[in-house]
Amino acid sequence: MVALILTPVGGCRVEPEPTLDSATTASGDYTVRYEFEPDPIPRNEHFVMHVLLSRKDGLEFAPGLSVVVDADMPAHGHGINTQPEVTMVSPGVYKVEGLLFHMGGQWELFVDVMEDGIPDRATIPIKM
Amino acid sequence: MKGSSALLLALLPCLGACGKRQHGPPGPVMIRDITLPSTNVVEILSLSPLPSRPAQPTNQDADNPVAAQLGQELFFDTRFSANGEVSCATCHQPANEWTDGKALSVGLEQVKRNAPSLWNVAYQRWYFWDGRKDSLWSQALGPIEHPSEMGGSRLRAYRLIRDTPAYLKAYESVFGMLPALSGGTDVVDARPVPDNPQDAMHKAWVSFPALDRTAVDRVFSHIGNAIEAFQRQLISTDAPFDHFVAALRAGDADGMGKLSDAVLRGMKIFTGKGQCTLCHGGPNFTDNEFHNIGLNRGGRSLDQGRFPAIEQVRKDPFNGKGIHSDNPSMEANKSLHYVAPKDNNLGEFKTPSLRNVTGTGPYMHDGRFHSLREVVVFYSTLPDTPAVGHREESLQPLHLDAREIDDLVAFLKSLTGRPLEADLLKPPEP
Ligand code: HEC
Ligand code: HEC
Repeated sequence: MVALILTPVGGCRVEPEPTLDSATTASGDYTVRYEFEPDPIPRNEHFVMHVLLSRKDGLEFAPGLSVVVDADMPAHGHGINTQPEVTMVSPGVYKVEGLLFHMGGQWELFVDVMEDGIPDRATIPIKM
Repeated sequence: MKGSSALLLALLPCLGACGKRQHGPPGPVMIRDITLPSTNVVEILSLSPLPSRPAQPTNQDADNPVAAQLGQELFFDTRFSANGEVSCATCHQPANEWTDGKALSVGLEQVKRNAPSLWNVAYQRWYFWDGRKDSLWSQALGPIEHPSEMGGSRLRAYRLIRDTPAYLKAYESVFGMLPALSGGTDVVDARPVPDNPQDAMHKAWVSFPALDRTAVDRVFSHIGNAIEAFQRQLISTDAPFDHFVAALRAGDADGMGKLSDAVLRGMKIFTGKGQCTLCHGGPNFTDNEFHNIGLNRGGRSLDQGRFPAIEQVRKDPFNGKGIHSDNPSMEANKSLHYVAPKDNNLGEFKTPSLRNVTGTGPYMHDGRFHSLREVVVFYSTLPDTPAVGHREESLQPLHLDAREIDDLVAFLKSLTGRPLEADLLKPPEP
């Protein structure tokens, strides 16, 4: 991973040991690596999330596996006012559009890996 | 795995390789004996200056001066209304901060909500207290046909353009030739009334050939385009607060010192323990979204606010993705495209801008509070059981003392901007 990510893209300066942020699903089975565009996430503007999903055991993804994304503000009792759309770019690579954090404060972004309709959730805390 | 990460790399211009932007936080600021801690300063800087108005892709004439001039005429014209007495300016009075000073507005009859001011409407994402419209041009079509507001119809509006030479000339110079109708020349009012097919206006509407209906809808949407262009000029900025922030950015102590102690203390509460910027954040003092702040029913009929409005705006034939939009693409209509009803939308209302709020009372969607002091006392005590849904949990009673309440009110009064040019306050000179 690291070697790949170090490849300079688009003429950007190479920082030492940069890596994608990551989270693990509740079962521990999946690693969710992610990147936001733009980064940092702008307040009250649409942003895109790119997700790179992998299995800890290195096996193939189950057929029919899908990814659902949602977000919440735990201290406010409400979530995001949009329905994010997830597109599979290739197996394990997803593009999430329609995300907008309208308030400052603590958000939780949920990436649900759905297998047979059962979600396995990775929770990503985000401070806006 | 390797293959997919390479693909992800290709998707991102600067994946991982560009360090995240680092800004050092600004330091605290002291003015006389009032200290604004660094966290407040960050919030204060985010509230000013007001940027120039956002682009409006679904109305290509949004910034066309000829359209704006026509819109200004239409805004003050009472002939859209069924009794010939009500115009937009009846409820959005230029001398009254573009509102009417009433708790609930009165057109042909009393309506269910308070008339919001039109200051800085160009900056909003959704229109009406519940956001059932996604543009100013589409919003303007509502009151013309609302039975309690102007009680007119799109056919009446079409005829007004056709039969007023000055309007026809301006219309055609902006939007091209006015389409002619094949029939129905003796009918004055016609519009769809989907929930009451027996309504005389509805019957007249469905009796028109489809092509005529499309033509009338097109002209109606252009009327909205023109009124939008006018309203986009109603901008409030350069308030004493903006001058303070400019001085803060410039490190100009004298400039910052021009605000009174009460205003500065109020600013500290607003951007600090009052948590007002959670919702009234950004340079227009609103997040452009909806919240349930836990108001009770106030002796009125139940108002569900945002929840039902989401379906309405998605289905609205005059929304940004519809055939009358100048740019129906998903890119130009992201907010509409991705919006979805959530349980928490019950009882939510749009966060109003607080610019010029001093003169825009009575306050709230039903005009229940007559003074800013009453509003602040509400946030201080949160006495109500919400009419419907749940009060947003971030809102907790602030338990302000009497001086803090006065300070917060003093701060709100520092948000009054520079007056508009006088020629925007009345129908344009012929
Ligand atoms: C009878 C009084 C009345 C008339 C006439 C009237 N309005 Fe309004 N206006 C209101 C009320 C009340 C609301 C809020 C209604 C709601 O939220 O459901 C409103 C809302 C608005 C909004 C939304 C502002 C916001 O912050 O969301 C705009 C813009 C507006 N009116 C412009 C107009 C225009 C343009 C006209 C003429 C075509 C007009 N109004 C005619 C009373 C009126
Ligand atoms: C959780 C979001 C939220 C927070 C926090 C919040 N407000 Fe509001 N505010 C709103 C909403 C939503 C409304 C409109 C509610 C309605 O009409 O039902 C509103 C209305 C108002 C109004 C009336 C404006 C008008 O034109 O009617 C004022 C003034 C106001 N708030 C000031 C404040 C102050 C001062 C604070 C901090 C003490 C504050 N608000 C905190 C969301 C919020």
